[in-house]
Amino acid sequence: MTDRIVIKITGAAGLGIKTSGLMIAKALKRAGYYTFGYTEYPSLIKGGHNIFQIDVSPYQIASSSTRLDILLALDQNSIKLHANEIAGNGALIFDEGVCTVSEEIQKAMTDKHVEIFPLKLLEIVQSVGGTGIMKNTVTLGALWSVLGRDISILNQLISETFGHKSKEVVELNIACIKAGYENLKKQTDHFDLIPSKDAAVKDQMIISGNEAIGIGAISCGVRLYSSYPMTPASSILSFLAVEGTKSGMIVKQAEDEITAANMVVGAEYAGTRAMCGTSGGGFDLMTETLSLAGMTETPFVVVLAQRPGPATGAPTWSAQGDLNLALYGGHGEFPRIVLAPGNATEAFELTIEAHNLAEKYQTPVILLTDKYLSESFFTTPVFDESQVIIDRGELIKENANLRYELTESGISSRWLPGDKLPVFLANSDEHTPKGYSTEDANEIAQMTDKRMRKFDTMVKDLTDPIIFGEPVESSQLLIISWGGNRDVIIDSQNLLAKEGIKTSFMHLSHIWPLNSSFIKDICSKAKSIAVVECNKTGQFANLLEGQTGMKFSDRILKYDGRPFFLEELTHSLKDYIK
Amino acid sequence: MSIIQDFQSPILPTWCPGCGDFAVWSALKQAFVQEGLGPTDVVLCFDIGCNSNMADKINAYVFKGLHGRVIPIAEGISLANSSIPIIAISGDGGTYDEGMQHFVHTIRSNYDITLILHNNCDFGLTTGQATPTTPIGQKMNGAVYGVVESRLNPTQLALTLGASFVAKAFTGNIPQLVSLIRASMKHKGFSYLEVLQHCPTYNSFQDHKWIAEKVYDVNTLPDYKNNDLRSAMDITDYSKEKIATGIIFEDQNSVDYLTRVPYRTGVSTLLKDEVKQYPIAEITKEFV
Repeated sequence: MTDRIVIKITGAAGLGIKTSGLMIAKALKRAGYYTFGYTEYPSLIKGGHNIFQIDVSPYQIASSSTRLDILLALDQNSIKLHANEIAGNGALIFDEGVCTVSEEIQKAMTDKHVEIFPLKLLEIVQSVGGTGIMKNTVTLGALWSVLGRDISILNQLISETFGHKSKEVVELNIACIKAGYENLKKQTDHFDLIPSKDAAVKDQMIISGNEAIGIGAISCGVRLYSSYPMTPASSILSFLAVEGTKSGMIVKQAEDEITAANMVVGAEYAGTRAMCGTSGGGFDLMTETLSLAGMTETPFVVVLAQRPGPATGAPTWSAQGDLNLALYGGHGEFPRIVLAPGNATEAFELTIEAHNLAEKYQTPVILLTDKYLSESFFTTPVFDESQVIIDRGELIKENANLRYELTESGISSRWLPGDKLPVFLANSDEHTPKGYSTEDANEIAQMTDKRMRKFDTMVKDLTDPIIFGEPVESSQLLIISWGGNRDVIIDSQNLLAKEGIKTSFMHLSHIWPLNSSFIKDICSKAKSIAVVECNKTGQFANLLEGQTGMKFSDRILKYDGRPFFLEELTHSLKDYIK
Repeated sequence: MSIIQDFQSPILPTWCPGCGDFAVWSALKQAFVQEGLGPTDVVLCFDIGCNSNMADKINAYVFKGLHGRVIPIAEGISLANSSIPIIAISGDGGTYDEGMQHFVHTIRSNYDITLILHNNCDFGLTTGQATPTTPIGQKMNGAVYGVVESRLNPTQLALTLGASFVAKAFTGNIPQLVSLIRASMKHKGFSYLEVLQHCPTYNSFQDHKWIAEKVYDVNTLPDYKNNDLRSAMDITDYSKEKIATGIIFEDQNSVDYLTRVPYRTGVSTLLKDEVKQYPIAEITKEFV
């Protein structure tokens, strides 16, 4: 019995790798297991090599292992690239109709006691009267058999998935499942998972970070999403174009990121909730508008989904190299908020919080994500909409006076064009409390102070970072990280704990303003500290040093486009254990 | 009912004496009064340039954005609140140079906004550089040997892009300008009103007198039909001796952006009034 099985489905783009992967993940979740889905694909439409990795466990996990137990190879390239990754006592399932296993690989597999399961997919499909498109369904059945699981869960899922089509399609797919299932017979008990004791997991969702952001936006009343396609933010646009428009949200694919961002500013000025999303290159184009939102004190929310750069970089891979861009992008000085969700649930919650904060402080909020978070699939409880709060800040309907009144908090009341109230000018020029342009020395300084007082108000209202694992006083290592590294670190902590190593982990999702006094207090109690992030220069560690005056010289940095994998990170952390 | 004084700002204009911006400023207020609109009934969006220094010289709801970006600001406002007339104001530098992509795509999208474009064939605020409408060969600040780029014909560009409303005015004829602003505001969809004007400081090549002698009103043409694209293209060619003003082209069947959006059919509320919590259970259950 094992507590983690790792399955990879691989093949050429266009073969339906992701669809199959999600189906398996969902079926395993219905069987009571936690799954984590991780995708790798090149910047190509057809033919490029795609990978969907599913980690399965009876315990709560959300990370990818470097190990591979079962490879489901849909083309020759998959065998060439991944057969050697299969661990001892693993399994290789492949489409015998389109690929062969060389003698060399055969021998390597035999030496490692890897079971080899050839399938003639097309033949099997045709034998039940199906078409080529149903080959993937056969592989699902075969995999299900290798895992030794009950076929009824899979049948139920097939009925739900194809139920909107004809009865015949459902029946054919069920026949394909059965054919695949019966074609392979369970050979070993190596893939027997420890039974799950967590009944609740069956009712959880399997959802990506971008889908979670989309649902958050729908939930909190975003009525305009404007965006220019850019990986890994594009799937927010695709998702909202389907789900957002159902409630009348306008989903606008703009001609460029400059337009997308300015539309958000215009729409927020006029009183609705709006959002745009992009990656680093598009964010570069948006920075003048970020500065405009800061100056005109217009609520503004943008998703910055990171990928490796500079320039075009590696478009379909992951990184955390745009932290400095989020913190410092845009000309001039204005207050801003940077939030970096750690998983799908945080992505949902922080999208809502981002809009509340943007309206409360009338300033830009950047939701900083990465490809790993955006496009990985988390097993997570159904989002709790009873906890959703909509805070529109100082949006008033009467007693309006000066739009940019010099207040102690820096926050001035806001009202909307068209309101039968005193009119005002939202001005990108430096301005007086009424909004008129000014070049007067005192007025420039006063209005700059007023805007930046919002920063002081934010600092009084900070969210504390979350500490996972042991209390820092009794731990051998304090791990500090931010954003999408959250769950792999927690999984690493659990592995270390099994070896008797006590760790604490400070996860930051509220990146700016930074709660430096809290951080200093925790860090001063730590025996050893390692900062973990996916960039070359340690941008977050540098920020911590600047904000706390402490040194953070132990850094675990990764910048090859890949996220941290479980064993790799666990191994790296051990170097810093005291 | 409103009066001109309702739009009076305590901030006085700073334009050079003889600048065409005075005429647009005056005509705008007259158009609003004639339409019965008060300061809270319109939104004016400004770009950056001499034209947009009008932003605090008029008492109304105003958004003054960045250079070249007035169109997407106006678009965002119109999506959130389509019940209020939205007028974007820019110049030949901001829109034909920096923000040309917005001009092209707003025509394609046909948002229900009006663009009043001050065309004086130069950059004034940055002291006399060339814009895309400066004639080839003209010596300008930054182009001391003369402009080498061909001259853009924005009217024909708009027409070929399928603009639903194209009009041209001259600051020397305020009554016509007022009526064209009113017609622009009434048109459903994107209204493009180009205003020819003199820059007394940096444009000596096409001054007020030069324009005044060239312009004529299309209504004076015996058989001109402003729903005919070929005629519109013909009279606006730079090879013509005279410059046509008035409504050059109008598509009476224009369908604006929001009307085109299929999933908003039958929705009468405004996005600005739709901010509330929306149920998500129907969506989340798909992921279970």
